[in-house]
Amino acid sequence: MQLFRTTGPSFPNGTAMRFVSIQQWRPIWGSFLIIGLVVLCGCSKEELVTMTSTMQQKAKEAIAEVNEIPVVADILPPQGSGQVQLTTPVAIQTAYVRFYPVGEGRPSVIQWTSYDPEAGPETYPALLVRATTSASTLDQIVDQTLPSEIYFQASKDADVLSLPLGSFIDLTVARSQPNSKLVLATVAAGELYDPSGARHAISGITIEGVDL
Amino acid sequence: MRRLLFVTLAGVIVGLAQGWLSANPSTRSPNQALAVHGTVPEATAMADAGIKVVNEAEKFLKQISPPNTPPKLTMAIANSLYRFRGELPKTVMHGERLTLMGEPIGMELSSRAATCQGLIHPFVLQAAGAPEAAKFRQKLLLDLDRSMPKREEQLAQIRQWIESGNIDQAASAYDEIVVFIYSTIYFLSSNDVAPRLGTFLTTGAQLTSAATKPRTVQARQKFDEAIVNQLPNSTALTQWAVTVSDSIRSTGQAKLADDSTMGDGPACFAELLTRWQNAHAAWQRVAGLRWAGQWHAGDSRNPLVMPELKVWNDAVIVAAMQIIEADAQSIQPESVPNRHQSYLQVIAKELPKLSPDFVKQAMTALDKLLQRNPSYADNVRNYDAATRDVLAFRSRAADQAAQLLRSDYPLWNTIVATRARTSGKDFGVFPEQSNLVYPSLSGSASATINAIAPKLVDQTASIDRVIDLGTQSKTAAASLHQGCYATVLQVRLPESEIVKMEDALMVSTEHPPLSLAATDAIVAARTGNHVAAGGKVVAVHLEPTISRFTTMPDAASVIVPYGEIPSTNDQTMMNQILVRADIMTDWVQHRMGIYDPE
Repeated sequence: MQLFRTTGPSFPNGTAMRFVSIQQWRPIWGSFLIIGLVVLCGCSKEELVTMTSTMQQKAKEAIAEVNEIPVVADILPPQGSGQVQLTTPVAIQTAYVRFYPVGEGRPSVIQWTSYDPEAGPETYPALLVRATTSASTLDQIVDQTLPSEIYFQASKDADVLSLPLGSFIDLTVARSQPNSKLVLATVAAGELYDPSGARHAISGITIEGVDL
Repeated sequence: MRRLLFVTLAGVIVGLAQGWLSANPSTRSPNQALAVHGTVPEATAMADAGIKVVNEAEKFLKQISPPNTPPKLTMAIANSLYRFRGELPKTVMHGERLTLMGEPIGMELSSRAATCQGLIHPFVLQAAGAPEAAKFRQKLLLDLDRSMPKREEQLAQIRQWIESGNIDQAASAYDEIVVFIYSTIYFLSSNDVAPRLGTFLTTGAQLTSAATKPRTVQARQKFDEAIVNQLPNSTALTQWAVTVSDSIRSTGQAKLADDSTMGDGPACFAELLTRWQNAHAAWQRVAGLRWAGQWHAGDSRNPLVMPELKVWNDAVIVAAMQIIEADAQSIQPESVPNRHQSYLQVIAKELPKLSPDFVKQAMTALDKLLQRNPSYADNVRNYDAATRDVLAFRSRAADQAAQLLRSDYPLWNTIVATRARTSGKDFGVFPEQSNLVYPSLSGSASATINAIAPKLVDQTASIDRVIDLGTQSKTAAASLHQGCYATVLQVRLPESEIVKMEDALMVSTEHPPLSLAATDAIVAARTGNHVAAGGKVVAVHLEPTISRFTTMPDAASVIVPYGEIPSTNDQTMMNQILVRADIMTDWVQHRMGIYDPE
């Protein structure tokens, strides 16, 4: 599944788009298609890993070709990931984290999202984990526990699951490595509510978002 | 206890709502006459007189004909019928004249008067066989004969007036003869009557044919005059906006109106919105007048096509942008935060009434104000990013919850369209089988309201875009949809809930919201504007569409969004009716959730 996390359908909305336009991607789509077919035809894991790395290499070369710029290591940057531990767990394929200082003595807000924060919750599953804090930078809250608001919608037609206004579930903030661009939120177990008022137990949420 | 509260509050709603909406038949007063708009001034007195006649006739019929009892006429009753037999035909004629004056009550009067005549007929037939009837008939014949020479003189005079174009005098004199003739001949056979009528019928026909055109022209003139009086003046608005924005640009303030009250940019913007509300109500009245006038033959104007309305709407947008842009040009950077937040408050207060285009343009102009203070602009951007997703998810969840509630609280217009159909002898506001979208009267309003009341009252219904009508009225009104709308008692959200919203949106007394959506969330909760609401129907009112729009009060015009006039089927305006519900609120939908007012 790692393959699809880096090259899946959400990729064109991702950060790589800042370097490569859709037209420029055209030569690479063929490579992805081949990878997809290989997966479907049932190759062994080892074969797949080999092919994947070959294809990723080819993809990088293709990008270099069309851009005429040197290949840099983070041209395919980390996409973040997560999991919502409902009765049937839901995997989050991409994740972002944003820290918003509003200034003038207001609290700041940190938000983890499964969708591009510029585009809003329009891709599914859509997850928003949000906390307000008096900190003025993200680094100040690493390793801290904060009360958080949770919003989750599995698909466009699915119910929005959330907490009542004024209710929170604790989350802890972590960075896997000191300078990593990935910031992890681990949300404790709790109950979310659907619009009918029915409760949905979660045994936790993890979301590791990319901080840009 | 809850029931008692219902009844008390329902009374309050009806009382309050009647304050701003003129009386019409309702489930609480089914015999109330349809409202008259009185654009042609004599319509009011004519309608009042006609209503008095049919009310008395209906009451009398009820007295002499208890339910399930065969008709029985005594001579005493026959004598009492004397008055009605003359007045009812006159009322039928006046109903037709009222229709020419664009008054929906005209059809109602003609139909009720004609129905009474029909109901009286069996009594007359029965009385004709009574022993004392012969003597009574002789008296009536003698009355006819004796009065004939004088009457013929009068009829000759009437014909002269008709020929010289003195229609009103002719009509009024003819009315008197109508009352006498019809009150006399009802008990006589046609063989007896025919030779004694002289030129009565031919004069009547001559009058009708001569009167229709001048009356149409006269009514048309009144409508045109009224439209000219109502039509909002786009040029004046544009001039005002130029003066105001020039003054703001040079001094930061401007005169709000012709008096000396000065105000800053947001105050001028609020004044612009007040002017728009008044003009919007005027546009609704213009639409009503156009519909009323359209009834006349030869009026081919499509009342829904009003190029002037677009000119006005464009002028309002330009004015709004001019005011904000003038402010942006003269403002000191340190004043930007306060000014920006004031504009947001002013716009949010009126937001549910405004067109999306207007809001978009105003927000674009506000961006120019923000550019004067880049660090504040950054805060605003961050604030928006930090709050918009919460608002989006909460709004989605609220929509989903409201959708679930709608299975128990269908939309009010859906309830009317499904339950208030004509069925057998029961009149409804839709024919039994039809695809009509807009309700209309096919029988008398009181018969209709009595027939539909049990089908509509106590139903649970939902409505959307509920707008508070201000502290004085204590009511709120919902959007008009396909001829249906509703009024509810003002519901403001509890402070404990508002505090939670403020926390989520990082708002406090010192820190007002920085985005329009967040400002709207707080303002709507405090003022009692709701995305939707649901509750029990406690009363239903029937309001003729033409009269409602022709006399639209400024505050009530919010049932239609600013910049629009209601779409409707323009073929049958004269009997089209608005079905208004008074609803006791069980829940309201705010953009951040569903709330129970209890």
